[in-house]
Amino acid sequence: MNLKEIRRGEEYEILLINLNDPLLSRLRSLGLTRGAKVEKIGDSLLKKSILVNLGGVRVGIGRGLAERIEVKPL
Amino acid sequence: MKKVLLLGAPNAGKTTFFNEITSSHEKTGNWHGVTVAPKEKEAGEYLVVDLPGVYSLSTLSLEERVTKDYLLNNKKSCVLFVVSALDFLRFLPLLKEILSLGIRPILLFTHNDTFEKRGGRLNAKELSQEIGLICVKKEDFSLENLPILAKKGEKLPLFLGENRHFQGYFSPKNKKKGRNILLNPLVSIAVFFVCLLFTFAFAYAKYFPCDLVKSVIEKIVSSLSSSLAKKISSPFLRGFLCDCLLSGAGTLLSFLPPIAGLYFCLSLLEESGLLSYGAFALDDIFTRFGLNGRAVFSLSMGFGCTTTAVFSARALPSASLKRRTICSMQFVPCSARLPALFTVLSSLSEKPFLFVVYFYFLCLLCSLAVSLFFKGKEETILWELPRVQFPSLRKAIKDLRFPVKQFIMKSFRAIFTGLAAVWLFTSLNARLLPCPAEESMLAWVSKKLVFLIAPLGLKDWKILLSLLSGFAAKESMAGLFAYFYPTSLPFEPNALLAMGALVFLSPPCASCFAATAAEEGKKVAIQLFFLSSFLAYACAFCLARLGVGGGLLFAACLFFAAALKSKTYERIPRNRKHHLKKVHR
Repeated sequence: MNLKEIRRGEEYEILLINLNDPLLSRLRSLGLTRGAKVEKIGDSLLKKSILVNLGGVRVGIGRGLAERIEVKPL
Repeated sequence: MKKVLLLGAPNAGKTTFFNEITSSHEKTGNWHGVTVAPKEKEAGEYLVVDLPGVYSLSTLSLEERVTKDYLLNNKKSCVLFVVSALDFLRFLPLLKEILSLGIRPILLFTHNDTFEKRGGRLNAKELSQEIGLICVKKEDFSLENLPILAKKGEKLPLFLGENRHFQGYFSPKNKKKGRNILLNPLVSIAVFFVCLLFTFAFAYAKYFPCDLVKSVIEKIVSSLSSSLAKKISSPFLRGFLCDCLLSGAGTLLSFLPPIAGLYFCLSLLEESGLLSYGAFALDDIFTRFGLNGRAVFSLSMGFGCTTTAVFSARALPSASLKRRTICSMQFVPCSARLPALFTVLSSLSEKPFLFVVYFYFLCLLCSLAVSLFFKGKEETILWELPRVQFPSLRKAIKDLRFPVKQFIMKSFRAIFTGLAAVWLFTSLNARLLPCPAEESMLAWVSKKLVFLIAPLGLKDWKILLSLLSGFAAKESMAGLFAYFYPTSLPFEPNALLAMGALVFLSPPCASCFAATAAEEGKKVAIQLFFLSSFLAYACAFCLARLGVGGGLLFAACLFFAAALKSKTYERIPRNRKHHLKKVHR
């Protein structure tokens, strides 16, 4: 499943990020890497962007990006 | 002079620290990417440089590139790696990148109080021994003992492996608290709008503190000017001192409290981090207009000063988004336009606040429509949201000093150069002899051009002159209005509305034009200048003919046009699956 489909209140582990380099390094520097644990904590108004908790940091991720991040439930 | 570079992640507290050690007043805020250009200041024997925050040195956004270049050009100088104690572990990769450049930074920990309150523990000495880099808490640091620290650091053996557990540093796991109410999009949007509305009410509405102070200042200035007028016998001198300088200065000074109130509230909001959550929740809506939540944040800075907001757009991740944001920013009314708008609207009605809200609304609609017009491909958001904290009142008051000082300086410059020149040229005729204003040389020139605003019901060369002076500095518009019409503006309500539109939507001042040209090139700046002149005129025309409803009609038409234009872009398929579907259809 991808990051777009995760449910609130459960922890997930990132498996794969389908992106090309410049954005990938941005994600990496924010701590979004393979093996990182994420938890969904909120949505935007129309539920297109999601807000995740990433080791105590809140990161807003847009739809286009979230669809390219593969996760598995822990 | 030895340079001291402040390097670190965004929102680590570099600028706050910079302000403390150099006693300067650079802008700070509780969000990521406040500082967008290096700032230098001397402190003692050092030159302290505040660099924009970076997440990593494999650069992506413009201000991160700036930091990297600066760092590479100044490898020999002393580097302070500023890091929040709360996220030390997160930025270990960044620290390693710095080390790989051959730089040995001193680690400076900020946000120690919050960290300890949450149960964290930091022993700077132990940690220094462990990782081989000098660590110091912000509270223990002073520039005097920097050489000692630097020397100590050279002796330590460097060790920073894959280890993520340190003896000297303990960070508690985030406890599961109840769900944060701000994470609900509806709540955060409500908070967003209530905060902004309160900000404007606090600054402009009647019976709020700023308005009360404003009326007191007005009374003082008017009594001062009337008592002065009795003492001066020469009409020429009296005209210059009382009608021109004092009334202009009085009008602008009386707007000091509302503008200070606006900056005060905006600074509190920025410090608290509340707005970011609302901006994020609104991301979906703004994506439709080609902006995103992060861009909205830059736009909201335009309420203060458009010029600084233009520079703040540098922190946006993509060039096209940055351009769109700068384009729509031109229509976010800055605080300097307010005195003029208020002068216009208070002749229109007893309660100008509602009209002010109406004009803000019109401007925002225009700004969104412009962004929609230039909409390209969809922008996806990737944004770290700041922690919400209680803003410090003392800091907000301290932060006020700079904008207030700037407003006073700009006003006086506008009055003493602009108003004085206008006064001179409206009191002399073509033969350089004193004459009534109607026969002066400036009147002669302006009368030739008055056909420009005649269709708006404003057949008055004085108004044209005041409006044109706004291109130099927005403050001078109000000064000139007060000079020409000391009591109130004698026009039809619709004409006053049109004047309001011209004041609020007209192109920003020369310094903003220069900033836009610096960021996006002269061509874009000139295009924007004509676009905003055109929109201001069109909106004023609708208002002059149809009254209040005309403005809304204008905005609706604008939106329709922009939507038609943006439809011509084909929607870019998000993944292969969608793409194939489209082909099959």
